[in-house]
Amino acid sequence: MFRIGALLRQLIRNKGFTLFFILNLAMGLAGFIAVLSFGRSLDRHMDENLKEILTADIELSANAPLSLEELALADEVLGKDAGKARLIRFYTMAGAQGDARLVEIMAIDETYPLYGRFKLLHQTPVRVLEDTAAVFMTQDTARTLGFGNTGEGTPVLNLGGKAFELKDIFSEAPETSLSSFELAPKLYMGIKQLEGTGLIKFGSRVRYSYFFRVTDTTDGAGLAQKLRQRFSERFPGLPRLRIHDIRDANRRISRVTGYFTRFMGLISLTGLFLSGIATAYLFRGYLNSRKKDMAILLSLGARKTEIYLAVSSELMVMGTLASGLAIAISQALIPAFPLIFKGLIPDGLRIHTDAFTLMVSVFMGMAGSVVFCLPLFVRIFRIKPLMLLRDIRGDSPFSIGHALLRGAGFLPATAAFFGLSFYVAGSVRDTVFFAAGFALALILLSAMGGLVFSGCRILSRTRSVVGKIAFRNLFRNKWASLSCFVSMAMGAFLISVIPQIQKGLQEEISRPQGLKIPAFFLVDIQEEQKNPFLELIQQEKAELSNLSPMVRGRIISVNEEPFSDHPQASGPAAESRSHGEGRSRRLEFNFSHREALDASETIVQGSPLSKTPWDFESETPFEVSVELSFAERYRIGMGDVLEFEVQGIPLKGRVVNFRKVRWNSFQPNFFLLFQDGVLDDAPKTFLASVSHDSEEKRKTLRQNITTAFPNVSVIDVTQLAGKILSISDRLSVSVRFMAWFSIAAGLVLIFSIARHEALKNQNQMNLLKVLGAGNAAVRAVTLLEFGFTGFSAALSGILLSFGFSFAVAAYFFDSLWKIDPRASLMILGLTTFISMGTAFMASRRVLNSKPVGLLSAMA
Amino acid sequence: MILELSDVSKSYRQTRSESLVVLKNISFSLDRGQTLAIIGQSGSGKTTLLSLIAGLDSPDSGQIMLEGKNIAAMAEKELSRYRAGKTSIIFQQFHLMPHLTAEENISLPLEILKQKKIRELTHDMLEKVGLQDRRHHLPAQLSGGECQRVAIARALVVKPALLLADEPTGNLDIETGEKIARLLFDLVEKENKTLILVTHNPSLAGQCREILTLEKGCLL
Amino acid sequence: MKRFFWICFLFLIFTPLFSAEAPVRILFLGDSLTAGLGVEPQEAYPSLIQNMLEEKQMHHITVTNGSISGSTTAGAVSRLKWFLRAKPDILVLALGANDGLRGLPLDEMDKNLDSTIVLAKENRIRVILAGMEIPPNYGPEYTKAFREVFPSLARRHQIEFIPFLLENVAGDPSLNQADGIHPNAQGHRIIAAHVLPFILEKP
Repeated sequence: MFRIGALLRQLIRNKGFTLFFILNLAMGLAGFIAVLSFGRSLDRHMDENLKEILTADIELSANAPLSLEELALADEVLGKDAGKARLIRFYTMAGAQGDARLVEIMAIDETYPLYGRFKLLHQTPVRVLEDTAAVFMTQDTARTLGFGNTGEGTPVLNLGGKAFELKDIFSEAPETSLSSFELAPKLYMGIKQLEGTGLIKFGSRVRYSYFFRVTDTTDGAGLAQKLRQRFSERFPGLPRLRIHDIRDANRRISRVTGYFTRFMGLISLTGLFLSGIATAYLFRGYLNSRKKDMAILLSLGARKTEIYLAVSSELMVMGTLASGLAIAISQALIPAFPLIFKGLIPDGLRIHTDAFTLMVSVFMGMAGSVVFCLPLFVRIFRIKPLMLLRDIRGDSPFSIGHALLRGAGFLPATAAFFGLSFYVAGSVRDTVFFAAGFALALILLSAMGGLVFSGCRILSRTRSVVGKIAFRNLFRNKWASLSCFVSMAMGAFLISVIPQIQKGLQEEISRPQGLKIPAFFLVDIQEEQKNPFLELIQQEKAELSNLSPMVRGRIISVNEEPFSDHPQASGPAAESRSHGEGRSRRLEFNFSHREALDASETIVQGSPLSKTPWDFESETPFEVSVELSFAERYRIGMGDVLEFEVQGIPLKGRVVNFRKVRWNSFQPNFFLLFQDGVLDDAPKTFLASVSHDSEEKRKTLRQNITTAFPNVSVIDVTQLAGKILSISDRLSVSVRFMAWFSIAAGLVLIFSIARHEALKNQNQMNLLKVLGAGNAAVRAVTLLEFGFTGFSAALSGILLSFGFSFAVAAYFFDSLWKIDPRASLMILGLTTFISMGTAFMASRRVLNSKPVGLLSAMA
Repeated sequence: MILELSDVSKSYRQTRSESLVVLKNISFSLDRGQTLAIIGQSGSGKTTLLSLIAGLDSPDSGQIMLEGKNIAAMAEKELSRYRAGKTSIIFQQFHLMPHLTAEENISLPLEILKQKKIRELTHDMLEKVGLQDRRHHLPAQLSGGECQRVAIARALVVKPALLLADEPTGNLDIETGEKIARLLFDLVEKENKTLILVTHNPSLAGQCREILTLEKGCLL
Repeated sequence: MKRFFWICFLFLIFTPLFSAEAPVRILFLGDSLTAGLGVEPQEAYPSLIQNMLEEKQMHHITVTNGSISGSTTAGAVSRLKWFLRAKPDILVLALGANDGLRGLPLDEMDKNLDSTIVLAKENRIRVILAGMEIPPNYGPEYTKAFREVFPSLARRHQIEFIPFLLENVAGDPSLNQADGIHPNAQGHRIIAAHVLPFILEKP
């Protein structure tokens, strides 16, 4: 039995190495605590942003109040202590007869909003709405309803059969209504005050929303899914309730924040694997250095299990100290990060290390020592006291039994990793994908390393002494060099997967360059109104950013198969997009045509639509351009023949290209674009988007449009656009920052490995020196060896990462992938540099010291 | 006169306040072609003395004149340049490059010193230590005795002025040790080398023409 | 030329090959309620009416559903012009709900429907006007004014009038989809049964 005392004595006796080891490991772990904390804090930050948009974690809504049974079920799933708020919303006509305006009534209870708040001009307490017949509205709305000044008396507005006082003006309401375009301005009132208006009775079209704030907000989407499932079990048939979590608050945002979460997940996984590599590598090195001690213990009659326990508890003590130190370092550094990275990360981001992150680092340090030891424990079995009689050396002959045993030794480590990745990734499929990719990369990189070091044989046939010695060392030491190579290459591989995806993601989420953000969407412009409308726009000096014809019709069949039976796509990306659309399948779609693609659109596959108008006489189908996600959702392939029905006319089209649409372009986009000529004579309306620089002019523009074209609905998208763009800016900044940050953390790992390797190399440097090599030569050999290993490892890792990141992008990120040569070159350069720099520092230490260590009594 | 030590002292700091005096006022000289054994108990300072002569470490005071130059006064950089080709060391632990073959280990110092006719010199040396058949083997595939032969060959191949040996048979069984000792002395004789040997093996020391005994850092 | 072929197309579709009596074409001009948003095309009430007529052995009557979801009365005239090429005999005019829901000016709606009816009558089309109502949450004045647009148009033009298209359907959760506004398949069956007598009634 080994006592703690003996163990500590052992560590203290080797305090130099113990300290070095702990520092090295702590550095690696601290980097990843920071990455994990950052990633998870950013994700939470985005969630909080989204929560403020939804004002809650979960929203249940229906067009009739929820029954007691339904509410009880919600309580059961979400927990009794969940915060609750209620909202009843509907459209009504407000104002004087003849000049009535459409407004949206938002009747709220006293707990609304659960997240976010009103920004009120006079800071009137929101309770007022509950207690008195009062409303809040925006200055704009007040003006359109004819309340010029709130100063002269209290303006009164009749809603239904009841008079409401305009109590305050809000500049910002908690809900920014990102789920739908704002068709009408909002008026806030208290739920209790609805009584007496007579607006809610049989046949009224009203939406009842129930908001919930849950205590554990980590998995809103999961809770929503669970709710959906429970409701569909209890109330079979078509669901009456709509259940939203924050990700559903806005479809476009949800897709992008979905990517963001996945990206952060990827970063966390990368961090996890990187810290695993670092720990395993360092532990392995430590065990190798303890081989001799183990042989001594064996010769003294210690049992192998005892040795294993002794060594692994040594590692556990060091690992625990290292993770403690890492946590301390990161906790000291993290508060400084928002200051250091000011402008690089979103404002108002609170970074804190959550339990999971701490768990990972402690696991790596403590339990990691035990699980990583296992594969090496098998090696211990092969240590024989005989080794003491000679120099400790080499490997006994290969045996299948040992190989199997060693393989089995890796199982607990693999299982632990798998478990952690599952926790981070959240789905078995994603975890398997990642783990398989990781294993594959490991195999490929080992093979590449083997090849590289075998190639060193050829390189060693040089006349240069330095080259000869360095390359011969690498070639002959290939098994030892390989573990260093593979660890470094895995590090380079993992960190360079990130910029490729980041670049693609960045392109997707960043603010579109030079794109005019429209102020209004104009719906339902009739054909005969088109020209007068264009004239008006010109008169008003407004900018028309888009005018699209819109023809409504149905898709009848795809390749002769009825469209309604056509299978819909499944898969992680499709699932996250289409849940919540559990209602009946959409059959009607809008078709359009445009002369040239909008700036926000790009053809990703296929050729552009033909410019020649389609001839109705021709037997051939006309050309169709399909939006990419639409094609994926309905599994429409290139070259498929779609049969449409437009106003009773069947038409056949063939898919010639897939189009990708920028999510934050704010331009009217269509799933299906037809070749020129097809829709010329079909009855259609136009959809326009207009922008205007001056805010004042925007108001008159709106006024003039409504007067001239009373049937045209003017939808104000300024607020929505502002909110979405601000979120997209934040996401974009965060994604870029995280990518660089994890690269930096990965480089720290490479530094740890190189440092460890350089320490191991000191003996060789000493020997070379004693054999007569000058300092320059010793240094050159070391730099060449490390530089070459670092360079070739980084190069292999980066090359492999191109393929892997492409697969990751295809699987998780809807193929958002873009090669990032700058980042790749940087990783390559820095890895080589770090590896050489570390070796240089180590060699300096050796070269400045005296090589007495080689002598018998000094060993 | 190839080597002359005068008043050489060396101490190692043990704790902050005290230091251990290892060598105290050592003076002796050695002629070319001589063989000298330094003997003494463990901790008597013999290995430290060897490391000073080899230029692996420098004394606190005193002079070490190697072929007329005081190596004790040289800086590490200068020293390593001067040391090359003048001295060679044979270690108790052999200290062969584990990944190089016997032949490559022997030719390594020649390569480092950028000498010509490396192949011939190496083959010649291999023959002298009787390892022609084993020249493509790695140290791990050689026996302890064979390893030490390689180490001797490696030390001699650069034709050093002074050959140093640190317990050359310490890691070997008696029989092998004797064989190695015989080989070493034969070669020293044949090549007319100067040898300093550190050992506590009296029979090995007895084969040297001169013997110095160290006790607690002083020459007896 | 292109236009000509469009017309040919229409004829191919709308002309029964064999019919005992002179063919009669019914055109439904409506919005999502008539287009059958959220139900299969054959479940929308115009299709159901076609089936009912078939069952009554009235094979000479064909139904065209020219409805567009989301459409308002603003496009009614131009849409009718488009369908005039197919020479409809009966027009079921079921527009206005979207005007109401979007709070558009009622006099505009009146004007749009008026000119549509005038155009139909000029082309000797028998017009059946479907009355619409909007939910009470739009306020008593507006709902009342809205409801009155339809009977007054019918009186003015002396045309047949269905007082409320969604009679017995609106507001009943079991007959509507989850959005509470669009009838489900069952709702469409009731509308079809409600509308059919107005079509069969000889003027």
